[in-house]
Amino acid sequence: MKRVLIGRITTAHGVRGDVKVQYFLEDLDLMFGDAGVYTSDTKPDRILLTYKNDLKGDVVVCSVKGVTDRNVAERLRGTQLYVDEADLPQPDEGTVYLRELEGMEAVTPDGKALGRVLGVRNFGASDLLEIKGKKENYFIPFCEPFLVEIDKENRKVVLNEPDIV
Amino acid sequence: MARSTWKGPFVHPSLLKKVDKARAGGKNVIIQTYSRASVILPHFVGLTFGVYNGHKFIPVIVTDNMIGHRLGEFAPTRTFIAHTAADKKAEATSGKAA
Repeated sequence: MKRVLIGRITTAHGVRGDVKVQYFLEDLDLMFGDAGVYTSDTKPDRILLTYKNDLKGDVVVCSVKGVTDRNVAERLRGTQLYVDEADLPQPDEGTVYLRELEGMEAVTPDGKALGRVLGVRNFGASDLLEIKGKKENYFIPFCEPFLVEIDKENRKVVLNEPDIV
Repeated sequence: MARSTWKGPFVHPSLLKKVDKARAGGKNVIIQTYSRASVILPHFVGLTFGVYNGHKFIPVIVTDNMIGHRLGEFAPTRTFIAHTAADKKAEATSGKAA
């Protein structure tokens, strides 16, 4: 089953075996489930994390079950944390996970191919679709009036091609 | 030293001309500009600018909380790609965060 990257252990914290975890989630409950999280995208190894407190930015301090001293916690540095894709809640009708857009084909309403979607970026203004064109990558705003619709079944994103002034 | 208030905010004159042209045009217009130093004025709200970052034009949709900032602040010149939240959702027809 496909797994989704949800965070990364950045370093040890304190002398009691706690770790700092950088998370790539909006809902942190996914990380602290009773089943634990995978430490690889292929292997079955899991660790059980318990939330302790927030730090600045997208970082939380967690304790790891079975880890009680800093030396062991140091060995977890750089560990990437995954969950099964099926464990994520199903999106509501008419909504999509942004990570699902990666690899979709971008087309105009009249069927002209624009390229392949590389991902969604945000530089502080709004979400942008990064599209791999024939010559180079470019960005199209991921909102109205540029976005027409997302066709999940055919893996297509329908976009209005912008007019340049 | 801060800019004198009697001068008003800096906006490149050619950009102002393009804004007028875009307002007369359609909805999905991107105003391409190299003027990263131009200040975002209240009547820019709702327009989309393509701000040059030294490599390509980054689309910037202007919202009201961006007034007074400069266009270049929203088109970084150095590559930094952060992870998108694994569970971040958006509406399939409008792109609004769900």
